Amino acid sequence: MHSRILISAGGLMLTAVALASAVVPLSGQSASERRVSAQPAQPDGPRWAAPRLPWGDPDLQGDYTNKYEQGTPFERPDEFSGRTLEDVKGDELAQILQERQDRVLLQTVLAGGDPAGNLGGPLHWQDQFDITKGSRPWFVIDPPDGKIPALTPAARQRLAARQQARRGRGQADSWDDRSLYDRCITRGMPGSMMPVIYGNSYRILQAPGVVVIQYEMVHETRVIPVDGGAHANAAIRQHMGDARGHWEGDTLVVETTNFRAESVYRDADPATLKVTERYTRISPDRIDWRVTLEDPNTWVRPWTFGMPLVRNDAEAIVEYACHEGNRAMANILSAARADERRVEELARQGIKATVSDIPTAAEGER
Amino acid sequence: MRATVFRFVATAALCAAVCVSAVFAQGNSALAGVWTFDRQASAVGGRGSNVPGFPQASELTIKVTATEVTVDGDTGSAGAIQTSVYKLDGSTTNVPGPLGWETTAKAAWQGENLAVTIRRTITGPNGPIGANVTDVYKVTGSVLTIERTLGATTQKLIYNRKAS
Repeated sequence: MHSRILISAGGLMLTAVALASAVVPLSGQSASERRVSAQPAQPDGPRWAAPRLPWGDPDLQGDYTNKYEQGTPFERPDEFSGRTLEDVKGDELAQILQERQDRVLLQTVLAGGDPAGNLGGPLHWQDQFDITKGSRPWFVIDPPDGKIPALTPAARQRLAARQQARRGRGQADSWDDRSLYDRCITRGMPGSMMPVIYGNSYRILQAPGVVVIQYEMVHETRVIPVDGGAHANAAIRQHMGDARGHWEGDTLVVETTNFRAESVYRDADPATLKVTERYTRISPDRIDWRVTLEDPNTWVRPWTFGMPLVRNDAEAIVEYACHEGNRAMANILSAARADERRVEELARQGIKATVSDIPTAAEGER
Repeated sequence: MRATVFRFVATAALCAAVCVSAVFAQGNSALAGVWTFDRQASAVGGRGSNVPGFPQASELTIKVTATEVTVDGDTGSAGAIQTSVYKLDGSTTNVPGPLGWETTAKAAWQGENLAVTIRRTITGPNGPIGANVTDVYKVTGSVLTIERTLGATTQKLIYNRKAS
């Protein structure tokens, strides 16, 4: 088991370098320039051929996880300014991953209580112990600077309007003020496959003409036709969008549109966002997952991020109990009301105070 | 027989004296005293913003002997004083840390600076897992600098000597 993980970790690093070097430098907006490599490069040596299912499709089935990447920053951190993904590898990457692991450990001091009051995540969220098996310094593959492209003027205007609409509302005036993730409804797409503190398992099942992806966190399931058919009518909008797949060689390409405003990724325009995922099984225990976001109403150019999904039979999907006893939302709201009563009480004593902030984003949401 | 015993005792005493003088030669008695945290002067550098999981004491009381350095700081719950004793013979000692974790320290003089390696360990799903943090105590005049290092991150904590 240990040797398998070590081999896997080494392979992940090689893959990270290979994937990064496969990125085509982009400078413009034309379709050909926007395209990133559909087929991730494989490590040196004989090309590994993905096994085929009886009906001929590449076999992607299995239980996968990306828990090893939960310490990976989404964009390139400023400390790596001027460097690309392929520049950060080997011993340097190993040291970076070790420090990320150490930081998580040192912040996870709630093991039976912490006299210093530095409360962190409880230890039963054990996905945080495998950060040294991560594969990369950051997620954004393209643009090569590792940064999400700038917002368009229209997107900035749209975001400003949303903020204006929320003006005057508290963080927990109603359940509507909490995120859909807080409310155990959805993490959306591709948010459902972003590594977080726990629940980082995914199951892929296949049948002729269909691929099914099940997510442990929130327990959503996408049933993706791979028959090359058209998207649903634009009037039909879903939290996970409308997904249609096809095969490009060994790669499953899934194009998702028809999002909803309240769950669309990174406040993109739900009417124009297109999410294109590429799943390429590059070794017996690894799928290269990369995601291209295109939305001319939100970003000045398309962009791509990626990470490996590592097959691990010990990481099968388990029951998802979003809120212990289903009490969290009631407690969040009642705590907010208690804060308000406290503010009023202090005001009567002549003390000016404000309601304490309650973060709107659920833990690890990005 | 008596002469042999005498020679043994004398040799042992000489060795002890040499060892003690060597320790003092390496050490820095100026580290002893009461030190007040200077939040304004303290800074961080390197990767990340600081070293997490280590609360800063607002005041440190440090005692130095030939065999150990004792550091009292108000890093406990509700500012309770916690005492860390760092042995100077190369041995590892248990020091205060979060409940449920094993926290140990190993200290040594590096010239006039005291270097303390603190290790926190807990049992994860694949066995014990832990992190090392190094504190280097440096005294310059009436200023104590503690360089706290985790990986590529070094956080500088500045303390000023408290007037007696």
